[in-house]
Amino acid sequence: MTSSKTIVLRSSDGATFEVDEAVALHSLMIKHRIETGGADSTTIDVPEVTGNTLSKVIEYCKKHVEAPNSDDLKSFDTDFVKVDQAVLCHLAKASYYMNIKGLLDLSSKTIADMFKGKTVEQIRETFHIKNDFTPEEEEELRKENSWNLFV
Amino acid sequence: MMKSWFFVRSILYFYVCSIMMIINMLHFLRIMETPRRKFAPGGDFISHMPDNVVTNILDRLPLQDAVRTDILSKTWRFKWTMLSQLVFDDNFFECLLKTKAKNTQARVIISRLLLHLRGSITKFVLRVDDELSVEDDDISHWILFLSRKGIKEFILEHYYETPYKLPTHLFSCLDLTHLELDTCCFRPPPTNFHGFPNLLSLDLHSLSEERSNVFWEFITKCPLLESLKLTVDLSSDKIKVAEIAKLENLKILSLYYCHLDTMNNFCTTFELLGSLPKLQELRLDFMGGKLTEGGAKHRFSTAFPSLKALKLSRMCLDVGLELSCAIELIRSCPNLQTLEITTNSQYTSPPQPVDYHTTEQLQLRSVMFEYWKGSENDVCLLKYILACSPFLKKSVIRPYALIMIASDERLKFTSKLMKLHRASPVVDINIS
Repeated sequence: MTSSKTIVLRSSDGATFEVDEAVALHSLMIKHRIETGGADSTTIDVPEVTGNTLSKVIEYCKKHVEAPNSDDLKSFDTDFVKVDQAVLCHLAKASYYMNIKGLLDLSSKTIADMFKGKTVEQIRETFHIKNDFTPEEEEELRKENSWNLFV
Repeated sequence: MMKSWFFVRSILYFYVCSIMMIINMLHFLRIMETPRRKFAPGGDFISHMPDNVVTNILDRLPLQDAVRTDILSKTWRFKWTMLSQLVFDDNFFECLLKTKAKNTQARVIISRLLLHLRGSITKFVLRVDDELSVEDDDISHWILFLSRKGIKEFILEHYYETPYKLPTHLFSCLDLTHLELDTCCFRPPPTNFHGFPNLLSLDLHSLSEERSNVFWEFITKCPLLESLKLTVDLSSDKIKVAEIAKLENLKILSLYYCHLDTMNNFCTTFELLGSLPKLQELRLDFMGGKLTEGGAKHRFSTAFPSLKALKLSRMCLDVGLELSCAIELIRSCPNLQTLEITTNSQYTSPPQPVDYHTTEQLQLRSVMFEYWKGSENDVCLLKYILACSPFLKKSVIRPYALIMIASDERLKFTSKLMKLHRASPVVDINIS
């Protein structure tokens, strides 16, 4: 019988999550912390990630650790990223800091798909990017970049 | 009595309504407090993500879309200059044609784009033909640039009439893991070149240079090589199978439209290649040549321990010797699951008797025969496979077109095949 050691992860806003060690190790950052942390490494702080994002990340890790070969893993992944662009950005950032390659690739790919086929204006709208160029600045930019036919 | 019932009913109605109102209010209040609020869907989070994440995202976009992000906002300026994967393919050149200044040549745009890039470049794909303005000298300069940027995957499809002579700078790209070239040739490497230590995959199409020992030296100096594909080899030198057999880490080997130096001797070819311990996929092209020496009177001394997929093109099974060799080969692969054969049989000759009962079971799951002419030996091979493959699920036979013209010929052919004994209860024979 495998030992079910649990780890507690603490998010930036103080929320704590108890997870199986095997699930936590899916994050290479946590794996490194545990291996170098010494005896007192049952609670690990993840200050770059908020509670809401962390709970989603844990959901992802759980599924990928507990059933890595299941047939519905692909559909799980597809449904997992059917979220708002803000959530996706938080997931991408969290998976980068926590070093979870699968989730980073999944969220990056989904965000990239949201860029494809859109004009600059449409991209700004989707991601709520404020156009902080004045019309003169934008005109000057286009002139300077006239060699760059895509801008 | 009626009145009191009416009164009770209206009190009940009042209670139910107020409870429902309270529930709705609570629900509404809960929505106000949900964590969803904290994600604030209206915020701009993407502009402040770590650079590495943004680069990861931009790398996945077509180049023209990635470059366009330069004018999204002041924060977004120059984020694209950290791109590490560049693909200049049909899509890119088409977009280029659609833009305003059609006069600026593609070669100028690519050179200028490259000058802006700040980080390492791990992947570079270039697909050019003589309709674009890209010159061989341009490509050489770009390879020089890439050699200083840690290039790992380099794919060049040079669809010109004359092959492109690769510059010696290519040999300084020691981080290369994947090299794919079409219609190119190599210059002799510098004397201090000791191979590509990290090369995992080499795919050469229409290689035309006169092969000297230099080429074989360079191949064997790539000890980690896992995949080797040589297609349409136009050199007059033949491929040295013994040299290829030295690549112990090979998992995928494809030699299509290539003259092997052991062409006339199936046995030697298979014995040499059978020694590759990790080989999983093998594709050989016999170019319709006939077996002139050697024979398979015995099991090949070296089996193909890991081979899962085997594709044999233009194998001539006319002589019984060749047939038994083919069968011996299939028998030698204990883990073979997929088999594809195109036979080139011209005439029939008395088939070699094959004892199906002493033969061990094959692991085959899928078999495909193309350009099937239905000669005696072809049928013999099929019979053997069907009889010894209890796990066979799929069997596809694509007849040589001319046979199928007469419909009664087709019927005769089909019924003949259907009568063959099958070891597998579920095999689906598909004749298309």
